[in-house]
Amino acid sequence: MRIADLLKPEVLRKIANIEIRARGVVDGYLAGRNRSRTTGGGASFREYRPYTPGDEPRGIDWKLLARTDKFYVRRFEAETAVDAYLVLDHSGSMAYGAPLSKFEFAATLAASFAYLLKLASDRLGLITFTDRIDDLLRPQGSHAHFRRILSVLTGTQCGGLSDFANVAAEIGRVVKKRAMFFFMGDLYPDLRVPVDGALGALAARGHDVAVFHLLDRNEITMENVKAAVLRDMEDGRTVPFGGKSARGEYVARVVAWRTDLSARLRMAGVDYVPVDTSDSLDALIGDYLLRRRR
Amino acid sequence: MLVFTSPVMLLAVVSCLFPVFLHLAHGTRTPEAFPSLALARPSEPAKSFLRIRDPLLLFIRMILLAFLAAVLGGPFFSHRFWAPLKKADARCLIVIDNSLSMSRKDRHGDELLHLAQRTANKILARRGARAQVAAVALFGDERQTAFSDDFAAVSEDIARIGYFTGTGRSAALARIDGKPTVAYLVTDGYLSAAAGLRGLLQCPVNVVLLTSPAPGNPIVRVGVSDEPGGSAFRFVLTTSTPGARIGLFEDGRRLGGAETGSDTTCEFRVDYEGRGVRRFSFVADGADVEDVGAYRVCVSDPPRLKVAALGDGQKIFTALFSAMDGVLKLDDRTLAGGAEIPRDVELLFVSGGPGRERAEDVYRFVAAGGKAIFFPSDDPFSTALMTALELDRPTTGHDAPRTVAVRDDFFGSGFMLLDLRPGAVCDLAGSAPPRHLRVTLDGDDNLFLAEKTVGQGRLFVLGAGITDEKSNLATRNNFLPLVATVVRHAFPQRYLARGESAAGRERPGFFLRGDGTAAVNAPFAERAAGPTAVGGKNFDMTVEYARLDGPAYYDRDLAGWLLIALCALFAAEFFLSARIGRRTRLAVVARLVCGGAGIIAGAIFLLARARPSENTAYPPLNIVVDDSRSMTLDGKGTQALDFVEKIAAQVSSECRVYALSAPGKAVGRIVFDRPATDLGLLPAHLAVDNGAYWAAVTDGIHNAGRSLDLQGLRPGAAGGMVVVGVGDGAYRPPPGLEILSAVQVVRVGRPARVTAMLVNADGVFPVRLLRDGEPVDGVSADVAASGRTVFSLSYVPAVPGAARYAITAGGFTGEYCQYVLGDTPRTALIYESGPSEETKFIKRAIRASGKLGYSVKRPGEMVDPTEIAAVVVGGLNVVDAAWDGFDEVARGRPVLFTFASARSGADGRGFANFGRYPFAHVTGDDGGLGGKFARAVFRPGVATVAFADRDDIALLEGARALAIFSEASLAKVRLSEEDRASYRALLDGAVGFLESGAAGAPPPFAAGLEKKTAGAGMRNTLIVWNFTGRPATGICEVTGGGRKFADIDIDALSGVGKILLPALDAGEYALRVVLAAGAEVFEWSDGYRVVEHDAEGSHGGRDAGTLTAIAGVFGAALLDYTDVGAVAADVRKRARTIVGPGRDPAWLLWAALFFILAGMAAAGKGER
Repeated sequence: MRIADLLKPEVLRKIANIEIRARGVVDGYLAGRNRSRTTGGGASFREYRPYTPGDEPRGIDWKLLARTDKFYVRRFEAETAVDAYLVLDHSGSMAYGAPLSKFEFAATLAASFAYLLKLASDRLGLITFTDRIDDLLRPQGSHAHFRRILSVLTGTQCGGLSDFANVAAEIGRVVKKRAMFFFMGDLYPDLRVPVDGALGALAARGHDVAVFHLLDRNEITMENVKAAVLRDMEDGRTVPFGGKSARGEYVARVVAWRTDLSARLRMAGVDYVPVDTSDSLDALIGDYLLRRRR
Repeated sequence: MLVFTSPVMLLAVVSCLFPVFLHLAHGTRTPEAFPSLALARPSEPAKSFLRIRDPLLLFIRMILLAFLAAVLGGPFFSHRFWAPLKKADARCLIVIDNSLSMSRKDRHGDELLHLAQRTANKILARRGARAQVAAVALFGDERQTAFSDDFAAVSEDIARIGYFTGTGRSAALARIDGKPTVAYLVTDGYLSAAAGLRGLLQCPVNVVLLTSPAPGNPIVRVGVSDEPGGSAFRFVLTTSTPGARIGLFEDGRRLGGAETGSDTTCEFRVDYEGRGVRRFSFVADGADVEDVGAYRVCVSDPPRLKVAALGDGQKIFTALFSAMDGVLKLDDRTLAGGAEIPRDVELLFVSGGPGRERAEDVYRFVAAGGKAIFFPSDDPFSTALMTALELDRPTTGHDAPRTVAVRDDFFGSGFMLLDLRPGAVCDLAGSAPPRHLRVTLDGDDNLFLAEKTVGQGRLFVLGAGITDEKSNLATRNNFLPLVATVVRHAFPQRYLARGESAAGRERPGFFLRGDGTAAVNAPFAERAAGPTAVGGKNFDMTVEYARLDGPAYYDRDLAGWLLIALCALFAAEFFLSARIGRRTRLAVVARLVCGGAGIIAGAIFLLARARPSENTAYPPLNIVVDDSRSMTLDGKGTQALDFVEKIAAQVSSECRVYALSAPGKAVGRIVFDRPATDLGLLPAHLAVDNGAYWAAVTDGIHNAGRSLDLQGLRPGAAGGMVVVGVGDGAYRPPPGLEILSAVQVVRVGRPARVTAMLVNADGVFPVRLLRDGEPVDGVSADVAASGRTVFSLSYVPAVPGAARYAITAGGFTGEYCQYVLGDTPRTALIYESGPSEETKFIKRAIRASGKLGYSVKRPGEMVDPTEIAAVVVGGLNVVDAAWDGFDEVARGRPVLFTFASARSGADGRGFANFGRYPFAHVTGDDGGLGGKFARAVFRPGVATVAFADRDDIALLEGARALAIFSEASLAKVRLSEEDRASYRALLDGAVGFLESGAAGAPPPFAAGLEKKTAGAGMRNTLIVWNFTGRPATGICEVTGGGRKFADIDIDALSGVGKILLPALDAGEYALRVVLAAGAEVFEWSDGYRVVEHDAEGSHGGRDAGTLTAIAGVFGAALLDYTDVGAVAADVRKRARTIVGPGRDPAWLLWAALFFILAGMAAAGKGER
């Protein structure tokens, strides 16, 4: 994958439009202007307020006084910068999917978020993992760091088993400062060991955690799976599979799993975003931002 | 009925199995990678590996491949499929072939006629209830066809049809009115049925070809020839069944029989006298014969004509008249040199050589109502006669020569039929000069015949001479039939009609299409052979007939091929996508492209198929019009433009007009203002568009040829080129005197004769003969000249030796050289192993001459060759003879060698021995008939070979005479007195040759070079040198202005050299001919001065040779502008007829289905 593939102009253009629309709505968390509700010593003018005794005289707008013969005090918004981590699963199962594999989709999604956060001058970090953390880039705000993140995204290959619980615990040990975490993966380890506990622990520490649950259309519907024998892409085992009943049962299980996972993560204070990798990327980001506004 | 033009391509349908294998292979237990199986419940393994998945995709794939195979096969529906839908109420005519060939039995033992009747009933049953139907026999008495809706009555009519043994044809076939009618012809497809089809072509004909006969039935083809004159008939039966016995009966009386072998020709010769009608029948004993029955042959009395022969070739005439005895009753007589043509002569045979003045006699004879057959030769007489008959230039009007249709299939390929156009005699003559028509024999392979009406009479001109020494025409097996046919043509009232004997052998321009047999894919020439080409197929088939303007080609148009390609693309795309296992973006794009293109192609296909089935494409026509000033004379320009308009109107193709002076630019109007006609621009015109059919319209007057090099031109126009001459020309050659003929070697004391012609010199001129500048006493005359005046001078040379003679007439002079032999007796050596028949007669002739003695020596005897003037060799074994003695023979001495075919070595094996002897030339003759050496050597009977340092007609004639005498003597054959006299004359010629050689006469070349030029200078000129009597090799140079125009080789055998000079710019030129023969070099030169000019016609001139030269170079036909139809027909001949399915519903259906499939593919249906 090339960097150019990650930052497709049409996607970024649409994201930029979203960012404009979301400006002033997303409060201190997202890229763009992460504005504080607190009026403070920031540089951005917010409103005029009639002067009341006790206000600092330096806040009086003297020019307005000259025009209106009334005392008004200028009020400014205080701005905050956040640390954000893009956490990508690159286990073997993430190589599945067409025309984009799940990992390619996740990388593109991560690059889009990175670009968005860069526009907001937020500090951005990257974590890739399988059953442990493989790459860890601490948050920085420079453009060179942004390029480094993109470079790691394009150079990462899929393989191995993933272990969300272990990785979440490791992240909790590594990252002490309050931050935002965007987890992106297929979350299949949840079928072995529930991940809501580990992710909930991160959220409980004050981190803002969002999970993008990526599945290919075939994983959801099995509509184009032709073969009578399936092979697991992570552990390599094979099972006979076929028949309408088996497909129907599989689809029902997937739906139940996603529903259950969504409920458990919300209970744990984690934002859960189910993703079909055949969906439009910009629509996904837009929907997510709008949901965050609410 | 769906049929295919290329049914073998249907085998491609087996490729439909490929998708099945693909799907089966795809359905095997190859594991497919999946991200996680945690949610997948393992199921039971598939019970069968052969379960086909995605049956819809499989179906689409198979359908695509099936359509691919179908389109490769070229499907279309026959009329029979379509006719019931379109013409449900059309009348139906069922024609049953009831010829005797239908009596054969098929493999089940049923007679074909019965099978035909059953088939007819089937056809009847398929008609609608109220259809009008009639059933008739193909052959039968004439009667009006009655259509009826009473099927029972029609069925009874069918049942009543029996075999036909008479002649004639049912009138029903010719009397179908204009109402819509669908005809069914049930036949076995033999030729008689094909002939009957001609009347049926006015309505759609479905031909039901019945099964071939059982293998045991012999197939005998019968050819009948009523030979000219009618008294001899020959029936030739060729059978493919060995052992069949054929009997010939006349009115039930058996005339004879023969047993045939494989491909055996049996001949029954029946000679009849008297007038009447006979009926002959062939009966194969124990077998049946194709159309056994009855060939009515008309027998007539042989016409009785009074015939006379004039000119050389008297022996051939004699032989001809003798051979025609029984065919023609000839009252012949041979006209002596100056004898008047008798008034009662009806047919005059004329060949060359009688003298130029006799041309007027012949002309008057023909103009007065006589008929003559003319074998032109290369001599002044022929030239004069051709000139008098105006055959040497294009003519107009009703007296134009026209083609005589001489054709008789019985004689194989028949005679060469040339499409003679007015004025095309020169064209036939190849490179003939304009005013000196030279009919080249060209190996005697090109017989042609032209007919011209002269006054009240008619003249038939054959394309080959008949003189004994130049042609073997008379020995060819088709010569007699040719002459006989011409006689029949000339005197049709003397013959009865041929009757029906030739019926069925005419083959109209039919072709077969789509009958599902191999013949469909055969070359057109084979398909054009008619229904017999498809015989033997044991199933019903539909044969569609159509007439064609030109040759037929099966062709798929672009849309068809595009569809085939797209179909293949579709298949590839589907397979590719399946192989990859996922639909790539490329595959999606390819699918969309293919689908869109398929829709477009389908639309194009529907439009393209709207044209008719047989589409005749005419080549575009480019007309180059001479825009020189001379075209304004006599309204020629108007004529030319009128011609162009008429051509454009008659030819259905694009027509562009070019001015000759402006290549590459089509013009809308022509301005005749160019000062010169530069034919050198023709190649530039041809370079414009070589795919077009070119016509050049010019008056033939051209005076500039700046860069013309006709030798370098090549036919560039694919469609050919036609040169059209307009106007009558304005050329008038300058006054002059021309030597027409002069004997080059004469003898002292014997009369000599010279013939000359004054050209365009008007007035009375005193004519004198000068010998080396001195007047010859007693030879003078006053000649009143006007136009072309021919006169002769006779004199008796008295002084031996070479001399240059000149004829003066006023200020005009003509020169020639002559060698006069002395009267001194000389001695010839006869070299033989012993007394022999071969030399017996030469000895007698030498003794009789009194001018030449001889001495006889045996091999090994000592002789003094220097004393010998001439050598005669005879009676030797060519292979084993000791030739050493000839080393001593001095050069230049004539050597006559003669032998009989009975001698060893007569087959030519020993002739290689001559290579090391100093005989300059080895030539042979097969009896003076113009044959080549090889033919002479291997011709049995009259094998005579003359080896000599010099060759001469007299030598050859003498040798032939010797040989004939020898053969006759050896064979104890008594020659007729007439033959003896004739051969004796030849023998005298041989002795004369020996005498002249012994006298040391100079080579004929030095004695006089007979040049024949068409003029030189402003025109392209064909110059012919005839090195009279001297075979030689050498080089001719033509130089002038520092340029050497050409080197040509002289034909070693004929001694004729030709060169085509380009038109010359103004200046001085010398035509220098250098002939190297051995150590001697002969040279002759003549000068031409080409002057400046400012108007056409003053120096150049119109001559047919110019047009002919142009036409010849381009391989074009030379046409007259007055015959616009001929030009248009010539263009149409080059039409290319495309035979395609046309509006055939199968193609439309195919296109519609393809359209649907393409749409499905484009919409994404049918993918995995």
